[in-house]
Amino acid sequence: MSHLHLVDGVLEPVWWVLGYAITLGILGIAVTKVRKVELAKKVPFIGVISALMLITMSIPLGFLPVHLNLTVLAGILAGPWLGFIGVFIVNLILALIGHGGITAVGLNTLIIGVEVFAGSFVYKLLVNRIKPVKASIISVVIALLLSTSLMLGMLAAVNANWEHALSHGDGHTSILHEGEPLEIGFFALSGWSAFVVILLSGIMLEALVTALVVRFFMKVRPEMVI
Amino acid sequence: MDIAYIDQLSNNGGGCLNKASAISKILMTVCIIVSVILCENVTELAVIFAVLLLLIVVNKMPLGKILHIAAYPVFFSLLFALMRFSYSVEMGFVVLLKGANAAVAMILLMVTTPYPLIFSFLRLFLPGVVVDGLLFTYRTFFILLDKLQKALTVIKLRGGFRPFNIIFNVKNLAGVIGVLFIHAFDMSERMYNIYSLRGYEGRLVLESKWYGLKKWDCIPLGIGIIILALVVVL
Repeated sequence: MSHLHLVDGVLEPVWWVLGYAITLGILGIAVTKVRKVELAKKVPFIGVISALMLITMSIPLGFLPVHLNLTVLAGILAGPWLGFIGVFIVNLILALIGHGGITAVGLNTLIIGVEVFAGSFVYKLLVNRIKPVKASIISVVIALLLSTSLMLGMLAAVNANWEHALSHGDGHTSILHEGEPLEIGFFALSGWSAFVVILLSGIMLEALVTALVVRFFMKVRPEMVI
Repeated sequence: MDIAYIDQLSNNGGGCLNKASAISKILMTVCIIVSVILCENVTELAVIFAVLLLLIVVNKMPLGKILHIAAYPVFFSLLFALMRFSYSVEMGFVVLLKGANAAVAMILLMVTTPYPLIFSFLRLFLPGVVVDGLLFTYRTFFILLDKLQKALTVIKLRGGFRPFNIIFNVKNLAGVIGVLFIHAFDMSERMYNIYSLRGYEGRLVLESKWYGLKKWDCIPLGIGIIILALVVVL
């Protein structure tokens, strides 16, 4: 759910170079981990997972100013290492078509990568103790809160405004500034309250869709999520 | 997203940039992005933007459509620029033009260069798994997008979409995504089997013409080097 929709030239070089260095380091570990299993077999699977993430991002959600990522679901289904490679691929493709700067790819991958790692880890921890649908909801909530915290921390560190980092549905609209009202139906909200509303609606939606998809898998292919 | 349209332009465009090799266009893009990062002067950034627009026109690309694609990143730079406007008007325009230049340069590369050439260049820096993953993603994206669009149309035709009933819509959407995931997983296995039959052993063989220089390369190379040199010198 979290993106740094920052353009090239806004981030200080030290930050995006650091972001790339850490991302490529993790990518190197991920590739080594994948090589240990059947590499050739996994590559088409990585492509499919990445394509699914890209596609779910483009699904219109009406008036809601967020979009789905389904990164936690990708982590649950593909595992954290394959999921991380998928996240890097998605961010690189988005940057190549102008959706975010090429310099922000490293930091974006780290932020969304946290969702994949945390989501799959929490899900694995819980799935044998509680029902998979409940486990998926808890995983999504924890993963998204973690990635959002990381995103806000990074933005604070690079001295950028947190409001620029919210992801914005198909219309990609309505970023707020302190004091400016956001019209959502009958409500008028501003600043941090608007941020919290958008954040919560994004987390709820992602958790709801992930839970419903996991429920669907439990009916037709339970082996995929257990 | 406009991936399909970008793909169509890159494969069917007949302009001078389409005829140039991938490496010269990649170098031009790198030069422009480095210039954008280094440059803090609004006039210089405006000149770079004018050169990019001129390149689009000379290359017979649809200017309006490319600017429309670039509008998304420019929108975000606009929001960042609004904050800078409170300090000075020039600082606001600097941020705005930085976003616009980087986005247009990147899109110009994508609409004039077929993706296998760009991905084969990336193989120099990225692990083979990632580059192969990029290629599989690109290939799978169009197939799955088509399936999704058809499924969403079917849902609407059968009354599965109700405006303002979010829960109902999300429930049906989740079903579509679930089916799409299962279809995609089956497809990845089929794809692996087919590629194995064709000799795939964990590394896709890519078109390697990205580095062959042609006479058309003097245009992007010249423009890129001149822009970077001017930004550094001035």
